[in-house]
Amino acid sequence: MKQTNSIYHHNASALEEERQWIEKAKVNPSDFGVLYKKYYLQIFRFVLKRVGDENISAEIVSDIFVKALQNISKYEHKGFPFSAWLFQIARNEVNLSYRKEKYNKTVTVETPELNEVLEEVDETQHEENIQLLLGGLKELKPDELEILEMRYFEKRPFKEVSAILEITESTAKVRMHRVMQKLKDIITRK
Amino acid sequence: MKELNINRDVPQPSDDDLLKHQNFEEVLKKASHTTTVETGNLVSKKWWYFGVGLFVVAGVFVSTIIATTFSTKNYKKNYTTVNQDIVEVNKLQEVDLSILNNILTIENNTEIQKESDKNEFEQEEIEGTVPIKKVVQIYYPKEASTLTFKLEESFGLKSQYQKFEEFSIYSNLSFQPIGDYQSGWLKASWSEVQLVKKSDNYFLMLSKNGITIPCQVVPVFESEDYVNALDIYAANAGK
Repeated sequence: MKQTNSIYHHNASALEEERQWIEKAKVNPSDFGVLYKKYYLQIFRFVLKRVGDENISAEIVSDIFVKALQNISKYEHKGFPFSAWLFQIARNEVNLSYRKEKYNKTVTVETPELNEVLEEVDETQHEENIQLLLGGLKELKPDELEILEMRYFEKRPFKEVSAILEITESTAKVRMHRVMQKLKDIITRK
Repeated sequence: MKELNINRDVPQPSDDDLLKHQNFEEVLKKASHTTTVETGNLVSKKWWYFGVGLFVVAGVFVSTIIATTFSTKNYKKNYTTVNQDIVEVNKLQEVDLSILNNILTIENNTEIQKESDKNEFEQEEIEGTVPIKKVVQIYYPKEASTLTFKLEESFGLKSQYQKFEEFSIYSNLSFQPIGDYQSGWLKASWSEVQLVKKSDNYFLMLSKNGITIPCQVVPVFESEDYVNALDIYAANAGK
């Protein structure tokens, strides 16, 4: 995978600055505004890709930041950017909203990303295989689809994927490998 | 999974479109609304003070009971003294055994297990008369995040945990200590180890020189065992 999500790659000074804002926000909630503005679009796009509806997504994003603000006192820096913690909350909130049966789960994907998956499973990049792949996505379990989305449709590095899913990097890689194997099996069997 | 919508090559809203929804004031308001209980808007101040007063009285009452219980049993003092480190574990013979025995002994847990067995037996009796299929809740594998107990097979831990229905399909289960425990316990040589379940919590009852120490644990799998366990779970969860 050539392209990666550059958002995750913070330098040391940026991380330190962020930590200072987090500490300020723990004392004064108004200072959370800096973090809110910094991550608003990232979180919104994360939710929108999984929900599909802009207005529903906006409500969920609002809830995410409310929960983040309410729990920021419990936040501890564990070597990951603050965004990973926010994405964990976002992931939980999105899954919670699915369970409330407000709407169906949505996957937002571009054709080049689908072609990239096909390339990864050594299949020819043409429309017929893309349709098989799209059908295959519906056969994946929620956690399998989730890791595929993050890795291939959102270009997140394994480090970030593992931080959001709260698993080790090696586990994330093993899971990803199994998902790709499953997709390959689905495509070749049809 | 419910129906999956796939949005392929659907144009996404611009950043400006999304930023129109940005409203930090609302987030602040919602957060403060749910964290600080605005009871003044809901009930009169009189009832609010009454509630707080009642809560304080209840708190004092409960604290007194807890303090009395623990002071009479000398629980905390002896528990922490005995469990300071592995060196002290090996010297436990010198400690007042009668106090430690009040913590949670194998006998107590055997009673718990008996009670659990009895309940299971009664459940089976009921099921014998009513044709209801018993649902076995299989344990969803967790990955080890810290050190786990390295216990000899002679303790028969595998056969112990496989008696629990939720673990019956697994092998290579490990136990990771949580809560108040000494790191030395992980490496100590114990004379007997028993796995006990109490209120959905699991404990390893670690015995040595007649002393039994309960250590709360989480059943986990290590590295490749975890991946295999996920497969085993996936293959059995739907049955």
